[in-house]
Amino acid sequence: MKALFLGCILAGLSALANAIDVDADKSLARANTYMNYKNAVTNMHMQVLHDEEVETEYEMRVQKLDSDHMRIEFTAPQREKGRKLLRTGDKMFMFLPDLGKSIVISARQSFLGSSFSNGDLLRTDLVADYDPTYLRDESLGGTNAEVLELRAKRADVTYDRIVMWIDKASKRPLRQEFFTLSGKRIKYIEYRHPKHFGELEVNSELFVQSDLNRHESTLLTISAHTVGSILPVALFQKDSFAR
Amino acid sequence: MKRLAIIKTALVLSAMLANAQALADDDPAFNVHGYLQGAASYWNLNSSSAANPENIMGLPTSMGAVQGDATFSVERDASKFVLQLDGKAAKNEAAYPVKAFQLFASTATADGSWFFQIGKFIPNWGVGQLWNPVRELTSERRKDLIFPNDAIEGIRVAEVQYVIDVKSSVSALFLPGGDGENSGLALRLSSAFDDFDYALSAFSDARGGHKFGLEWSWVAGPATLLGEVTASNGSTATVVAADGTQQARSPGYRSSYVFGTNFALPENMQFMAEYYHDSDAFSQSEFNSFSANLPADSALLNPLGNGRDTVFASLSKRIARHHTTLTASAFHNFQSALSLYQARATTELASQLDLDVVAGHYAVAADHASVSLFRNTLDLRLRWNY
Repeated sequence: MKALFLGCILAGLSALANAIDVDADKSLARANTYMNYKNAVTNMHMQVLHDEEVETEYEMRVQKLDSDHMRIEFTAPQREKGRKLLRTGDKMFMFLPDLGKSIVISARQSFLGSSFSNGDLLRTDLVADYDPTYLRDESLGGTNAEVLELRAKRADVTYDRIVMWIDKASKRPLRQEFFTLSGKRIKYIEYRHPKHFGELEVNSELFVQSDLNRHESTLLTISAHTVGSILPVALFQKDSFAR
Repeated sequence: MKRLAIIKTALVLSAMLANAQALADDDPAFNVHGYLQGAASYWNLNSSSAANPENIMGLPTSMGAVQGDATFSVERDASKFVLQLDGKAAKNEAAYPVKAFQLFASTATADGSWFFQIGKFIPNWGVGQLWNPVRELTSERRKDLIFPNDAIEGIRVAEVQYVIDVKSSVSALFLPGGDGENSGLALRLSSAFDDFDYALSAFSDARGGHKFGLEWSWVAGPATLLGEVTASNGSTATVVAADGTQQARSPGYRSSYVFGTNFALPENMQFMAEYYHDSDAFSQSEFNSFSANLPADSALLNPLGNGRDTVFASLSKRIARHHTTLTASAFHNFQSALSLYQARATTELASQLDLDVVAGHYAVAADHASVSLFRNTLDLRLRWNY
């Protein structure tokens, strides 16, 4: 009995020590660094799935100047070729090539009918948008993970609350769950298959499952990723990004 | 150890080179894309239309057209050449042989800060989704408000743009005119202050007319507020006097404007609304004169009502399955008291093959003379994208 009592005390102290050891801000910052590069060019393939069957596929080239400036250009299918999206600061625009004009879009709108929102792909700086709190350690698929709760700093941020799993050792994002203010989970993202592109490691697959419609999911695959060449600022200016 | 380091470096460099090559190979220099479309329209005529009593216009009750569109582009570094051809063969509808909707060449400096484009194209001005009085500064031709996302024909223009920084740019447009287009010089400065984007523009034409414009947009969470305002003194609009005579609108500055909002809703739904005041259209007294002199002045008729003030609202839902979008929308023109209610469905029947169906109903307030030509309409379009 005495041994059991001491064991419980030790377990509690150990958990408390772990909690004290985890700096949520630092963990989020390192995970953020893993996901965000400056002057990055990435090729992506997106599959919109219905009951795990491919409904629609897109090819995109993503250019990222920094956390506040990102540009997506569709290269396939033909229907979408020439369509471009731009994020500059808190604003997002979509260029419609047939009309020759840009329209304003919202971070919370669905990204071309997929389970991603525009903000999921265009607004990826979690440090700028969320305040983190450490919740617990947890094993996720055999990986030791820290679990953080992220609360929106402002009303215009894409999500009110996110729960995020981060690889304890590498700080690689593993999973995110997204919640409304009322606490209802609306979807989750799994980050899979870390892959090296040169010396850079990124999660090469993002899988998102909607909780609002269990038949709908989306798979995003990164096929190429480079960082280093300075991207022209003009590519990210609202009136010239559509060139 | 040294050999291992060399091998490792070589492997990394090879991977980087292959990656960069993969990115370059994904961006072909030559591209062709476009569509082939078959369209059919059906309607029943408004038997009590003041503009077309007993169908004196001889309007048919159906139209059909086959349209082809092809865009050829060649790109090398920062330079681009684009040719967009469009042609239409039609029954009971205006047809045209193949014409160039866009034909232009462009280039930019290595850092992209200076940009030059010359030819026939659509200057990217304005924030309104449906109406753009600012784009009217350069006499843009908009085809059809029923199909606002159809490709539109460009205007002849040379453009020089300088990107000041990531927030600001300045553009100059030189318009040679001809073929019914304005000639003159337009300038535009765009910038942003936090989440508030704005642009100022000015146009001076060869006839001595001046137009000034202001456009702005502001993003607040899921909502966007936007607007455009113009002031111009070069109106060439025709009005109908009380005695039935047609005359040019009196000179002087007039203002047109649009205010609108987009709101992202749950479940992939979107709400959009715009209010448009067109200073070239009829005031209430002018509309009364116009309608009282129908059908003599029917050549001036605008199918969506000739009044100055129109509102539009739509609610749409996008379904990923088969690229489907369902939309309910309504127009209302205040001076004519004319409303148009529409239900629309677009979907993908097969790979790159889209079907667009629009059903419309025209209604007018009981105490107003009806000028609408139609009661109910049905438009079907089948488009193959390549």
